[in-house]
Parts: sequence; C-alpha cells; structure tokens
Amino acid sequence: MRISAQDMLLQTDLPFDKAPPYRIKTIEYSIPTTREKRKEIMQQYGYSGRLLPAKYVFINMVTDSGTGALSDRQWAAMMEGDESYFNCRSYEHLEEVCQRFTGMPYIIPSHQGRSAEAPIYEIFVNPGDKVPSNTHFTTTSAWTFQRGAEPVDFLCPDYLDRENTGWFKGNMDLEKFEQYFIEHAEKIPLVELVVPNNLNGGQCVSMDNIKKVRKIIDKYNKRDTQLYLDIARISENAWIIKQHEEGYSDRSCLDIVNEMLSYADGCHMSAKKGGLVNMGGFIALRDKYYWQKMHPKTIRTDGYITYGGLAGRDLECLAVGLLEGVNDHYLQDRQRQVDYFANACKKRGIHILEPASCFAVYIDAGRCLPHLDYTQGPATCLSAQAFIEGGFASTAMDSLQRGRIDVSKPMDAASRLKAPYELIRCAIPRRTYFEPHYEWAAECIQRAIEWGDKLPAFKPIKDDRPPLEMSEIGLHTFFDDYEPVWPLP
Amino acid sequence: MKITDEEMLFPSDIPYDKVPPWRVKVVEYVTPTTRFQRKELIKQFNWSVPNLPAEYVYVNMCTDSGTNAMSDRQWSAMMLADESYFNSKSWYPLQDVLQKFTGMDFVMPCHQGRSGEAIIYEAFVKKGDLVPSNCHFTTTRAHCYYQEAEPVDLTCPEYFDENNSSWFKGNIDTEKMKALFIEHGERIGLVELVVPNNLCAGQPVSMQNIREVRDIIDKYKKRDVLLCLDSARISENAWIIKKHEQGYGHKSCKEIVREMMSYADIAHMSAKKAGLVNTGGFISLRNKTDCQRLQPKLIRIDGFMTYGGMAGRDLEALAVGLVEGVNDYYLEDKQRQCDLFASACRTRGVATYNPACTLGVWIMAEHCLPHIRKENGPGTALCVQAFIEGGVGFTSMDSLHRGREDSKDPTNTQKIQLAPYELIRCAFPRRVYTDAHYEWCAESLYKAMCWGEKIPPYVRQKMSDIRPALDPKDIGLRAFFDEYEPLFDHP
Repeated sequence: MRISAQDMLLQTDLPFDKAPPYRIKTIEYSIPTTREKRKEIMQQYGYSGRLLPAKYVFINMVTDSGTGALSDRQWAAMMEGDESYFNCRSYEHLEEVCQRFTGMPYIIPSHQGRSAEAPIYEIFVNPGDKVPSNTHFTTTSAWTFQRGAEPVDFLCPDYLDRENTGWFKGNMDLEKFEQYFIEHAEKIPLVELVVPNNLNGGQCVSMDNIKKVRKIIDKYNKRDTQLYLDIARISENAWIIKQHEEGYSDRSCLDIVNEMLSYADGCHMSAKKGGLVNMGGFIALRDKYYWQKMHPKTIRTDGYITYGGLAGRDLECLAVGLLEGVNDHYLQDRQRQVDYFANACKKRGIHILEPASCFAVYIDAGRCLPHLDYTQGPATCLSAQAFIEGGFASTAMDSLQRGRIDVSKPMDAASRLKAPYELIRCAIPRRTYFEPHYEWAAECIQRAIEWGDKLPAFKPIKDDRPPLEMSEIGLHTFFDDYEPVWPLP
Repeated sequence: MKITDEEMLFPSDIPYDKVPPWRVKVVEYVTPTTRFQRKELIKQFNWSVPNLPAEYVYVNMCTDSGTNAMSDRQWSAMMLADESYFNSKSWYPLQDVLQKFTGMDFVMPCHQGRSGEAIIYEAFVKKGDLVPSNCHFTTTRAHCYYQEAEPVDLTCPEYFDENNSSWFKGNIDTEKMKALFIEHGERIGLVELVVPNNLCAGQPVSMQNIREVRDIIDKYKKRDVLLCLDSARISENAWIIKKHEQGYGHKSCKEIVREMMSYADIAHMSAKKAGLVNTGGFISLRNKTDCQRLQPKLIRIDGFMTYGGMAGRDLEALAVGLVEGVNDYYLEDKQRQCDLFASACRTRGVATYNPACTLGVWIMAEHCLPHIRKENGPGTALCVQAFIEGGVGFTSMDSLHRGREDSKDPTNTQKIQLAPYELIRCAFPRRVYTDAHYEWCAESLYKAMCWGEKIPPYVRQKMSDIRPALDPKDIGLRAFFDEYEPLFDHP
C-alpha cells in the first residue's frame, strides 16, 4: 500500500537534515573500467561528457535532466497508466496535481520542457520582439532566435562578484530591466524568469525579485506583456527561499511555489528535473484564450492535449513525482547532498562557485587551471581529465563551449563572448548517488587538477557538418567539438 | 540493454573499497514519525520491534532476509519470466546458475531456506540422532526437535573470547566434534555447518575448518554421514576467506564458494540473503539417489521440482541475483558498509562484537547497559530504546530472547541457558541503506545508551496466559512467540 502524500509530510524529528527520508529499492550498475581504458574511450569519443557511451560512466553528473531515481510509488502508479489516446484517466490525475502545484487553472502536458516552450514562444513572440530574462536557458534562447526575436539577459551584478555570498545571485537585474522595459515596452511580449538560473551557476531567484519584476511589468507594459516562469527546478529554488529569505521559514515549499507562481501569467516545466521523472513536462497558465491558442500547436508537435506526447504511465509518474519533488523533507535532504559534494570539493582545495546551487555544484575551472585562459577551455580540459582519473562525467560550461552569442553577430562563432566564469557543471541526479559517490567525484577532480600545466589547451574542431541555420543558432553547443593541443595525461 | 555478468567483473581501478559499484534506481519512503509517537507505538506493540508495523520503522535492520534491494537487471529478468507450472523456461537458466555456483549436479528450488531444510532433515535425520553444528540456526534446530533428534552446537572457543582478533570465530570446534564422533558416531547422520555462523555474531568459517570437518567425517563416521552447508550467506563468508585466509587473495569469491562447496554433500540456501532476492531458496546435492529421495517431499511441501514454490519471476530474479551476490566488487562494498557502521558505533562508545563482518554488526548490549543483568534482557531494552530515539529497528539476541533451551529438557523455560553475550543484531539489508543511514543508527544507539539506568530491565511474560503452549516438537521456535515486558516505563 502506498504511503499517501499527506503521510509523507507528517511532522517528524527524524534527522532528514542528516539522512535521506527514503531508502533504496532498486539499484543499477555501470561497467567497471581502468584508467587506461578510460583514456582510450575519452580519445575515441571526442573528449566530451556529451559524447561518451553512458555505460562506461561510473558517476554521471553531466545533467540532472531525466536522470533521477523514481520511487516505488511512481512505479506502482505507472502500472496503472491509462494508455487511451483521448482523455485518459491518467491525465485527470496529472491535471489536478499540476493545478495544485501551480495554482493555475489551465494545463497542457508536453513531452519535455523544450516542447512546452515552443507553443508559448510561437503565440507570443514575433520577429523584431525582445524577450528579457534573468538568463535564457539554451532552449528558450533558441526559440527566441527561431522566432526572429532577440533574447536579452539581465543578470544581476551579484553573480559577477566572486566574493558575494548572497543566496539569490540568480536574480534579474531590476534596474537595467526597468530601464530597458520603459524603453522597449511595445516590443516586449514576454518576460522569461528562470528559477533557479541554470546557466548562471544555478543560482536562485528571490521571491522579492519575482514580485518586483511583476510590478515593473504592470507599471510600464504597453501590450499585455506576459510573465512566464521556467520552473524546471522551482521546488529547489523554493527550499532556498524557505531557508534564506525572511518570512518563509514556516511555509511549506508547495506554498512557496504557489506564491512564486502567483506573480506569473504562466509557466513551463521540464519535469525531468524537479518533477522527478525520466520524461515529461507541462505548461500552466491563467488565461483560457491563450490556452486555446496553444492547443493546435501542441497537437502539431507533441500530441493531443490530454497526453502531449507522453505515455499514460508517464502522466501518472509525473503526477506522483511532482509532489514528491516539492516535499520539504526530501528537499532538505537534496540540499544536504549538494552541500556535501560542495564540501568534498572545498576540503580538497577545488575552487567552486559559491554558494553551491540547489541542484548542482559548479567548479570554477578557470581558477583550478590558471595556466589556461578563457580561449583555451580550462573546464573542457578539466572535465575530460576527471573522467580519465575515475570515470566521473560532468559538463564543461566555459567560454569555449558556452560563450554567449553576440546578438549583433549571432552566426559568427569567433565573436562569442567571454563567459563570466570558466565553469564545470556537476549536476546532481536526484536520489541517485550518496556520500561515497560524492567523495569519489571530488577525488577525481582533485587528481585531474594535480596534473597542473601538463594539462593541454583545447581548440575547436572544424567539421564538415552543414552549418546551423540562423533559426537554430542557439543550439551550437550540442554540435561543436573540441580537441586538446597535446594528449591528456 | 543489460550489462553482462562478465562485464560486471571487468578489471577496474575504481575504488570499490570506498564507493559502491552501483547507483540508486528506485527509492522507497517510510512514514515520518516523532519520538512521542514512536514511544506510543512500541508500547502498543508489546515492546517488540519485530511486532511493529514496518511502515513506522525508518531504518529497518531487524533482518537481512528478503529485505534486499534488487537491481534493474533482476527486475528486467522478472518481466521475462515464464509462469508455466511444469518445466517453466525460467527454471533452466536458474538450474545452470545453481550448478555452477555449487559445483553440484543435482539442484532443486524451494520457496525459502526453511522448507529446503525441512525435507533434508526429514530424509536424513532420525529419531535419537545427534546433529553436530558450529551453531544451528533457529530453523535447523527446530527441524532437529521436530525429528526428535538433538542439535549439538560445537562453536569454537575463539568465539567465547571477545578479545580474540581471529577472523574465523564461527568455526566448529573440531576437537569436540572428533570426540563426539568417536563416542557417538553411530548416532550421527548429518553435520550442519552454517557459513557464516549467523547466531554467533555472523562470524565466518575458514576453508581449513570445512576441510577438517570433512576429514573427521571421512575418518570417524560409523554410518553414512552427510556434510550439509547452510549457505544463506556463503558468498559473504567467501569474501572474508579471500581477504584473511592465506592462499585465497587471488581467487574470485565464486571460486572460493565452489571450493567450500566441494567438501560438502548437500547445501541448502535461503537465497533471500546473499542471493539478493526477496523470496526463494534451493537445495543442491552430489548424489542422485539422495536427490530422488527428496523430490516427493519437495512436491508435498513446496511444489513441483521445476519451481519449488517459487513464482517463475522469482526463479529469474534468483538466477541473476545469485551471481550479483558473489561479485567481488559488490562484496568489497558490502564489507565497507559493515566497517562503516561498526566504526560509527565505536567512535560513539557503543560496544560491538569484533570483528564486524558478513551480514551485519552485533552490539554488545551488556557493555552498553551494565546495570541490567544478563537474565533481564539488556539487548531487549536497548533495542526498544533505540527505536524510540530514532526509529531504527534491530533484533535483540540476548539471553532473554535467544538463550538456548536445554536440549535434554527443551520445554522447560526455567532451564533456558544464558547466552555467551547479550547481543543486538543489526542485520544489513543489501544495497538498501546509505552511509548517512548507518550514522543515524549508531547515533540512535548512542542516544539510547545515554539514558543509562533509566532504561528498564525486562522479564518474560507468562506465556501460558497468552497462548497455548508450544508443542515440544516446535519448541525451537519460541523466539517467534515469547513476549516480554519492562519493569518500568522507558524514558
């Protein structure tokens, strides 16, 4: 018999700040490897976590997207998935949960985040428009370009200050945003807030910031500007608000999520993150007319509006996972795990971006390998070497791989901008690893750093793929490849 | 696509002595509780953690039997199972695995350990027999009494010396065994070796000991004698042999198990332990006639010879799990977890029986609660208090709960003997708990211990007021029924 969602939130004095509120029910192996073998594999697969066959990756922190462990409650629900094409019962369950989660009446399921973003950008964004954000994620930035519009990032200055210890370094820069909004209001159909700010060290956004963004829009808008939240990891952001923003410590994370979303007109979620599923997403919004306008677009690319490209069992799985993912006991343990890994890095002298975010630890590779400059891919190199040392995979997000596009010359790869930090993202799959895994992952990075200036610079490989079209330009990071100027040690 | 058994043993420099060779794929929640609720609960359920509804036990180490996490490889095999009654196609891969694991030609499935033992004892133990062992587990002891034979425990003297640092304190005392054979050889038809010795703090048995037992039987037997291995956790015993017995460092645990088995005539296994399944077991034998003698009894109790009371999917899960359970990387990590828990206890001053190895950690309750006399259940009391403190479930194996009945006068509870140690068994479900859980268990024991003399002594309740007396043939099972109460309330 399943433990109910209410039971799972019962008051307790069990130490969920020290140990997980769950135990393990099913486990999964990877293929044991040796250093020699891993070096071969790395060479063979283009020095990138993205290209490695996953079966050889012992600890895989390339992404937290769809890589979490499900619960037995989710598996049990999946067995009850209704696979009817129209109006399956499983959708009713999910719709109700999404309404409770978002506080919004209109829901559309989607197969993952990017396909939820598509109808939103298609109905609101047109050529010549501007879409401000605290920092667009790769896919919303790609949708903006695809619509012939311009993504505009207003990242708060706190993020750029290495020494700043604020908890909300993912905020929108309100001053710049306000000024820009006043200037361009008639060209701004949509404002996108990513909570937390994935591409900027996973830093969180404060309630206060969301509230003020809403106020600026209400005050200056000239064309029914919509505020949408990218809520892939909103529950984890809510835990940081609960812990570190005044006035929220007594509220449940579900309550905080509800309040965050109360300032928005709509939201889209890649539920593969905070929704604790392997596949799935959704759109939620307040306005029936826009909801109906999105319907045909969802049907065109994802599927009918009661399944959105998901199997019936995936709808069930998400209905359970979304609430497990916002459970306070779980979130407390999740943050403990992130902090544990951050400390394992710090005690080995590995530089990380502080504070460690709510879903990943970002390694400051620029400081770990000072002999490589931003054009030489210090994170690309360190990430590859860490795999060789111990089968640990991560994602390089340095200037070489993720330098932002110069919006005045988006097609010109040579004029990509220097990133503020040369980062490696170690994204932590949910409920999947525990202490010794984190220790070993940190150990791999440390061993890699110890090679010092024996570690080579990386440079782009010219390939003969057809060039990306203008409308696809945000996606270059999925295709560009790099190689070291001499072999990795 | 499944990783193959061969791939799972590929050479590696990844430190499986520090980190598990697996990651988590599915998790399971319990109902959160408060200290106040836990105190109410334990009172309501007669001061016994085994009586508690499991949903309220946060970290459950009452037993390692069937409480394991399975792998995704096992789950996927289960989906492919054949549930045909006769000659299911799921039986043949298991038969093959069992033959390779044991090196014995004749194998049959049974639904768990005890039903395998039942028919072995029915076939090979006669009224008036003596059945020597390094220490019978509860169920083989019960089968002895049921056959009106006498179980004779001959645990080696090292076990009784808590400061002895040997790794093989689970051995049989070969001197005493030889003497017993010389004196009563005509009454001995079966010798039971439990590897490792579960009721003696899970202590392992050495290869040399098994070899000597075989030699004594061959030399001194006065009738046909079968050497029977209780192999529920044999793979974990093999890991200790590999690490600590000379000449085995380079062998795989699979090879070591094969050698252990090579000295035996029969093995029975409750596969719910090292077989990494939730239910299942098997018997293996060398002799065809012996096997044929067991077959009708198997059908009477368990089921036809190609399923033995197991669902087709359970046959499949076992075929995969038995091999995963003897994988050297996995066993290395299993011992790491054991060491981690033991040292979490010791750093807090919670006394453990040493060495801590194989299936769990045993707490020396008499050292933790010196104010409670041996006959008043220091293990029982500490277990209850630890549940109140942190929702952790352990099994008390103190004199009160598990003192041996006098085998000459087994129904007389007045004659129950004191146990050599007042132990609590913290048995580890395999692949289930993480380092943080082990720390919390140790912390809960520590918090319990800190109450000192405020923790009450226990007495046995008068069972005749509660339920009909056990049939003398069932007397070995009293640990499952007896109830106890504290002399005053727990803090």
